[in-house]
Amino acid sequence: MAYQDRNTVVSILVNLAVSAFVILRLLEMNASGLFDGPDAINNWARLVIWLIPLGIVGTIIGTILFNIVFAVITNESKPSFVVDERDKLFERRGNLAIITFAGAGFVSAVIAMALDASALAGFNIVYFGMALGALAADFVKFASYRRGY
Amino acid sequence: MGKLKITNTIRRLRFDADEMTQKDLAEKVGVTRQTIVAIEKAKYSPTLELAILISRVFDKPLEEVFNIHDAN
Repeated sequence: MAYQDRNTVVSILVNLAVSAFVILRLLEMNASGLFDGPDAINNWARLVIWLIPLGIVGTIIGTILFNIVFAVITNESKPSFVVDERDKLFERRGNLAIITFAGAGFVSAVIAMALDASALAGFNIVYFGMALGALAADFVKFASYRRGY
Repeated sequence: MGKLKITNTIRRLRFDADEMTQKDLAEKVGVTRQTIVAIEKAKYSPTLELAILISRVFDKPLEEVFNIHDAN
């Protein structure tokens, strides 16, 4: 398993964990009425702003742990950390998925708000469009590594 | 022009070069072993830069390592 292949697995796990956390937290905030008043968008932003460092820290810790576990399981004394042209090709394929989902999310949010959805709903659609895009990108890369090309 | 497929003789050349491993070749040209596996199986076509580096390892001209065929 190549270095970037391992990183893709970690990224899938972290993205799923962060998305699950966000969904649960949003439901919890909604139930407690934090999205009812005029501060709804501000409350939403205060949650989302923490997701950036959370994702970065989660990825770093996940990558370290996964590489340690991988080295122990495969008994490789010097696991490879090489990144090559095939990794970059798969990265570009993944980026296409992110752009597609993020673009679709933005357009969907604009349409939803034009049809009288709240700004909060619009922001959520944009956020989840990007989150789905990141997950789709990881799955595209994961599938590419399994296929080999 | 129909669909083209790039094939190669890397496996034989490795065998002729003291049974060089895929890992050794990967290290010599700075890619992962998985990339060498994909190239050998003709699943992945390397960039011109990598193709030249591989042919240099075996001290062979490029066309002796890589070949292009009509896939049909």
